[in-house]
Amino acid sequence: MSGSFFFIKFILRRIAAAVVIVLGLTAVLFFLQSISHSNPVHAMLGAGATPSAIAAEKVKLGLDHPVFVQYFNYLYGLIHGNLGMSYRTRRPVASDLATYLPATLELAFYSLLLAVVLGLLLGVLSAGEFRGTGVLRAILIAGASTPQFLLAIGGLLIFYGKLNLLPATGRIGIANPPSGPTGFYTIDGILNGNFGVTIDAFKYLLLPSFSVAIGPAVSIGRVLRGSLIEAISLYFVKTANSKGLSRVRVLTVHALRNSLGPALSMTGLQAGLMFAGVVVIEDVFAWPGIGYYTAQSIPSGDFPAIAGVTLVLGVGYVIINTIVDLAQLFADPRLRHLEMANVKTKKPLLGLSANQG
Amino acid sequence: MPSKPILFQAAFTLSGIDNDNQKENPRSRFSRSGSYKTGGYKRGAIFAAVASIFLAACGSAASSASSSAVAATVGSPTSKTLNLAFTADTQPPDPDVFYAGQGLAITNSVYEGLVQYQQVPVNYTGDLTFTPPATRAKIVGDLATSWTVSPNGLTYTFNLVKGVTFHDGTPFTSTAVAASFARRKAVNQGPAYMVSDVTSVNTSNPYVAVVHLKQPESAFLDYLASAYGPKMESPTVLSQHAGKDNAQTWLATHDAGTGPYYISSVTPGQEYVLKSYPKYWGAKPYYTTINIKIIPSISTQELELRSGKITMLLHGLSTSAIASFRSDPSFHVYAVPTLETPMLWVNPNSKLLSSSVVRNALAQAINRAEIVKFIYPGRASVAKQIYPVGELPSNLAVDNPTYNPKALAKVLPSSAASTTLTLGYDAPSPSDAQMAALIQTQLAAAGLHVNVRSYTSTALYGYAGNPAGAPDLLAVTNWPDAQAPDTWARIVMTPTGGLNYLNCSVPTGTSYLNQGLYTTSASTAQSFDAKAGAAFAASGCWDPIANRGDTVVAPTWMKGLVHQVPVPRTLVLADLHP
Repeated sequence: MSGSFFFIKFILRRIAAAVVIVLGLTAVLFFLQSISHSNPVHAMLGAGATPSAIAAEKVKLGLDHPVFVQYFNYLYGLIHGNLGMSYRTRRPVASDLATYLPATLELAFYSLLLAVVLGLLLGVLSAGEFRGTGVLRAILIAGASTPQFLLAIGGLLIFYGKLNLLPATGRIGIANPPSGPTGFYTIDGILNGNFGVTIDAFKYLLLPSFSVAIGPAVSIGRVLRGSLIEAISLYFVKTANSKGLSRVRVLTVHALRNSLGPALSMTGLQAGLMFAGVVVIEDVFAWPGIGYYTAQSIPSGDFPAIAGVTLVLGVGYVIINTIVDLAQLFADPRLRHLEMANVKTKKPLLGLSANQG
Repeated sequence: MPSKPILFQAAFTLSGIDNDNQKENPRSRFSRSGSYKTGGYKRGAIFAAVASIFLAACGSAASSASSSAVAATVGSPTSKTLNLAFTADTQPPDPDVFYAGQGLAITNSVYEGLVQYQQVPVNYTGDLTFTPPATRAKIVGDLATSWTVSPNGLTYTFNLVKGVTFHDGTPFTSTAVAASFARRKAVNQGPAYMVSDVTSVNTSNPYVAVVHLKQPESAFLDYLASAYGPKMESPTVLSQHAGKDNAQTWLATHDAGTGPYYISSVTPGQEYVLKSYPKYWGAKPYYTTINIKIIPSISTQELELRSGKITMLLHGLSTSAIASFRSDPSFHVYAVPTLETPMLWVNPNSKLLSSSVVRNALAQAINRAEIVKFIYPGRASVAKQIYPVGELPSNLAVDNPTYNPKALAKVLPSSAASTTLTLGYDAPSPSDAQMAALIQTQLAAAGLHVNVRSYTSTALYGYAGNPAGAPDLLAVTNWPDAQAPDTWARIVMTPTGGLNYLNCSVPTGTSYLNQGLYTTSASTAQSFDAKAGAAFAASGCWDPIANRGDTVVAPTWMKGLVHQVPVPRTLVLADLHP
């Protein structure tokens, strides 16, 4: 089996897994909705809505049909990019997600980047026993031990309330920022030649992304440290060490690549979990992302919005794990060769078979 | 997120003792001293502990951020921009759709109706004292200078203000009245019931609108005066942007009103920007721009207020935050009277509570004064009528049981000892959760076992008309659409009412209520409303706890606080000035 064919097959299997996940998630959501006592249409129209108005709105939204018909209508709409109408915002859910998702993706991207950088620093420095590592570890672990909302509010109090160095709420302080093409203000500012937007966006990102990143950073760092310590005891590292290479070179050039596998797995796991943390952080920093959107939609019983967010997160989780698996294969050639050999014998190591997400 | 487990695991990491590598610690191979650093654990643990305590201390101070450090930066009185915040994105600011709380600040700044409740100044008295409205507010003209009602109650003739233009430049005439009433009916959302009896609007005279009803409605003028009542919309805009949804899409981000402000921009989930309308027919507002940001966290809003980034807090403050602002010389805290009513719903379909004798004894076991004292200090008064305070004279529709926790034990059946009731509250409301917890304690003292749990608003609406699985008791705060008693009792206490969550039916009360609504005489309506209220109160299905108001925090230099009584969030933004 050639390498490219192997990867194409692998990605196709993951796409199939994503489809299964979407079907499963929507089925579960519809089942939960059908057994719940909620009346979202009445909640949407308000207390004074007459029974005839409620009935008319139900017909308009297709909620007068049996639940399995609603389910198939939803799937049909999904295929055509229609996720329904939000009961709360009264806008198409697809349009809402297009509005809110870039903010969350930008926050999650930079949080993950920060987590990886801090995790690498923590892992490498603590494995290498560099001077000052203890202080870094103590700060990161103290941060990770503090509830996220407390960390966020503490950051606000110090860097906004006291020092007035960083902004408190929102994504950007500049009026009429560029609206595309990526939806990331930090990148769109550069692409549109407006570097002020990029700098301003980074200011707004700093506190929330640090609040999100610190927990995953410690998790990644710990796993990496353990792997590095394992690797250090192996002969090829001992050989590099005995050749008189510097600690930095031994760790980063020789030991690190062989130790990345578990850290990458942890990064994938943390990336998925990060979206849960983002909900709280978006609330504190008034960050207009899907975390905030979800937090507002749940009390309103806004089923189309909740379903839309769930689908995005489900598919996003599959994508992130696929990327992590691919990164692992690229980082460690032994794993790649072993995996390809095992796929031939139908005993894959990384769960790259079709029956795993 | 991981918290303590990570700290404990990290302690092992810091100590140099790794569970997975206890045989040999390869780190020592890189140690400059060549020895194990056994002191790392202690130092790291101390660092972790100190840093955690420091961060925790910062966090706990969130609601009472040092006022002295930021007092000097409170928003400038010379600015022509007013910055406000909502805790959540609102429904679209379309007056025929919007039927919630916070967005009233937008809809009532942008749109105007034919009549309105007389606005009431909110005075700063130095101490936070809630003064409930003593009587119903007078209905005065808004876009109508005067009006008459035919003796049979079927025809309302409004003389309209001349020289008014909509924000798109269209002159305001009787055509707009007809178009606005027609749209509200066509859109058919929550507030549509207010015009359901309107059969036609005669527009032969551009400055006289003659509204015909199919039956007399004693509350019709209250409907028109309500903050949720029909607002006048530009027929040009409604026609040009009608689309397939009666211009609902357009009016989600634009407006068609005559008010002192127009909607300049809407960024969903982030911000609403209002600008003053240069050709406004009334007094020009001081503030030319109003920015309303969506900031879900009230702690963050407090920080923004203290930093001068937002000018006022309109609602949502906790008791501790209110105390903090009251002790800050830069701010005034105002108790704004509204008709918000924290209330206990009692489920007559619950086996233990099926008897009105038990339900009324349960009402005696609840110490309303204690709840007001602990949850709404300075922001509420004890409820003594079944209707929100001031809707009827204080001697009518009285619901003021004498606190006597022993009364319940006398009427409870023996099965009560082995029964646990469920007391629900509206999930997003912290004060409703507090109210539920206090009621739970009081009922426990009276011999009832009660579990407290939260419900989403959609779940609560689901129980109205479908009692299976509903909680036994429910602590929720609501307010009426207007000051007519009918607008409270019809929604809360009649079988088809949207807020009759626990499906209590009192046929005599409903009958009186109908007689009160479909009459031409105000005194007759009041008499029937009083009888209906007495019947509803006797049922024991609803126990009003308090008359609650809004709490507004503003810099000391802010003047011109004026609002409409019935519903919260109706501070008149156009009247604010330094």
